[in-house]
Amino acid sequence: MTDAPRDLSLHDEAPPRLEGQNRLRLIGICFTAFFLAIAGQVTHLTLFPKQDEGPLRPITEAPLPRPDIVDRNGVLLATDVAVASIFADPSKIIDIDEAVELLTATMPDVDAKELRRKLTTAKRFAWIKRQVSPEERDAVYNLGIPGVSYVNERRRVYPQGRLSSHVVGYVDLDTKGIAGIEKYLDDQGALYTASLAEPAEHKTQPAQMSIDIRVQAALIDEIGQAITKFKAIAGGGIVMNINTGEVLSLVSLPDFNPNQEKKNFSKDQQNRMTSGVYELGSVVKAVTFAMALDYGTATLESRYDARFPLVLGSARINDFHAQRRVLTLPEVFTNSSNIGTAKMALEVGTVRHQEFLRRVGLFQKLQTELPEAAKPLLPRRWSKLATATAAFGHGFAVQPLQGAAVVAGLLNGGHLLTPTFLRRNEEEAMAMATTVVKSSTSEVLRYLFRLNATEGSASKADVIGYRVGGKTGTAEKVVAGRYSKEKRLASFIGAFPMDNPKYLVLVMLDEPKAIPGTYGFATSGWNAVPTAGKIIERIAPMLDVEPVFTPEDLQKLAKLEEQEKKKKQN
Amino acid sequence: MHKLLNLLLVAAVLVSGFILYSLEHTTRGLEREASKFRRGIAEETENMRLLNAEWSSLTRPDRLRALAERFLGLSTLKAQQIVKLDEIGAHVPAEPVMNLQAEGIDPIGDIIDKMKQQ
Repeated sequence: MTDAPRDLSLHDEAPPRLEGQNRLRLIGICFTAFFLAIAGQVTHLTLFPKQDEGPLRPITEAPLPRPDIVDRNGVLLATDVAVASIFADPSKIIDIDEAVELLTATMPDVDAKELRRKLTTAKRFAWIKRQVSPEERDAVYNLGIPGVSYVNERRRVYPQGRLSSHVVGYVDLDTKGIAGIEKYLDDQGALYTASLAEPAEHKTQPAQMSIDIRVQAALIDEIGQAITKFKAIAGGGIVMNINTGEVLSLVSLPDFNPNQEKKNFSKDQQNRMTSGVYELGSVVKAVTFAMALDYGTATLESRYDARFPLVLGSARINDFHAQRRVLTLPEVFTNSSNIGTAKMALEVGTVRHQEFLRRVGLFQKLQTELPEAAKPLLPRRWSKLATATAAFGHGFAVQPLQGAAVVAGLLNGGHLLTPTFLRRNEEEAMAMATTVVKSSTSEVLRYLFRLNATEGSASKADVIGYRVGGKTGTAEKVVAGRYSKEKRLASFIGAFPMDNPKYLVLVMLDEPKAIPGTYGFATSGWNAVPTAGKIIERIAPMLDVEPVFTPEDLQKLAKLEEQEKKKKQN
Repeated sequence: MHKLLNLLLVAAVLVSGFILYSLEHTTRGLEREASKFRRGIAEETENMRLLNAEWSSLTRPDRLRALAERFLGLSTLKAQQIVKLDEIGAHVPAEPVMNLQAEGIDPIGDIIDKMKQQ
């Protein structure tokens, strides 16, 4: 710079304006370039903004966000909650004794000895505590021990506990569904789609089930009480909407708590209603009656001679409550006569009998959303004897849910529906229904069911006001290839209100015993039926079934009231 | 003339530079705040999930039933206890235990009157 003025004086002659212009131009270009650079950078930053600063503590995502599961009224049945698992890298811990002391002070349930052993033996990795609450996680984080860190995880919880056990199912440690609806969701790929929709946020639509948790609670409670009262080894129940096929409740006892850490459930805890097959016994007579009425081989006026046992080859078919007289068709139903029903089936014939059973789906495996489903057990050779015994439910075994579905189909006007555990409305149901019997047949069957509850074997289920109808069944269990006289399976299938059936109730008790109150009887009418009555009394108000009283009902109620008053006075 | 222009340009550089840096500064502050809020939202969402689960667990029907039986002395609703609104007159005792209408405050009576009008 010091040379510059000398330069100027040396070139006095040269026009100074031009040189000044050049310099100015140079400066101008410099400025322009500078401003252009700034403008360019600003534009670049506006168009391609840098990633914003990440959260200070990174939240690691679960492998798959699972949707919540809710019942038909929106009550939460399954959800994910955040948990953290604390681990340590022992090679980075400076003072192990101090670390152990601090950690056990923050988490009193961690064993100090065990922790010290872990931290001294492990080289690079050791779990300190798995699945802790966010508060505990923060407390440990704030200790600031080098080498101790945590990983965020999600844990599946079932707030309703054992109420939702069999239907909702459960997931494994990697939150993969392995039973019930949880497995169904995985198989559907619904989870996958949900994770694609909004991968960053844990916002997924809850999966809504057809289950009503209030009904489920009533069913589980009453069946549990019945099992204790009648010293049964197991039991189960189903409540189903007849017109849509929606399962409102499915109970199988003994059940389990899906929240339990180790899911080493025994075979005894499996879902008996779908993964087990049972000879349902006399409740199958409803199917035989529907068949005979639908083929027109029997009418309400038909009569059946039940004076003598029915002899087919070397086999004799006898009645449990032998009447030893000629019975009308309704009497065959209410007395649950094996002889009468067998004769009815023989009139239809073995070929048409098989055809009808196939039509109502009893020959195929019923597959609902629940992955646990068992195939029906059928007689190997369908002889005349097989028809006669199958007519009253001996010799073939099906899933109890399948039995319920068939009876529902026969009572709702003949529209057979595949039961579902997801929401479905009546139009959707009717669109997929197959008509199996005429609606007139269904009408007669409703009459028979109601009659059986007013004066037949199911009278103990007839809750005054709710017009219950039903069929009882007591099947002898097969023990070592023979029918046992002592081990029985008591069942009841019913529906209410019978003038326009809406809900079906199935109750099953495995090996109920006679107790002092049942006068030595262990048949269905003394255990499964009153249990069903109690269930209906509890669930009918929840399901908006309006009670209607006939004059006889009112008389009965007045009598009951008087009795109670007397009791109180005494 | 050029001096003035230069001066103006220098001033412009200083001013725009200042504006740019202050803008960036506030943007950073806002970004930090936004990520703080985002974290807060995530935390609250987690809390909501936890509380929802807790609520569902506390309102389990079997638990409510046990509590109602124990503390309220309630039992299963009988069919004959359900009465239609237009038949309710037949079930009202002849002399009411408390004459609320006379006292001028009868919230339940008002509700029934309203329903009748509809």
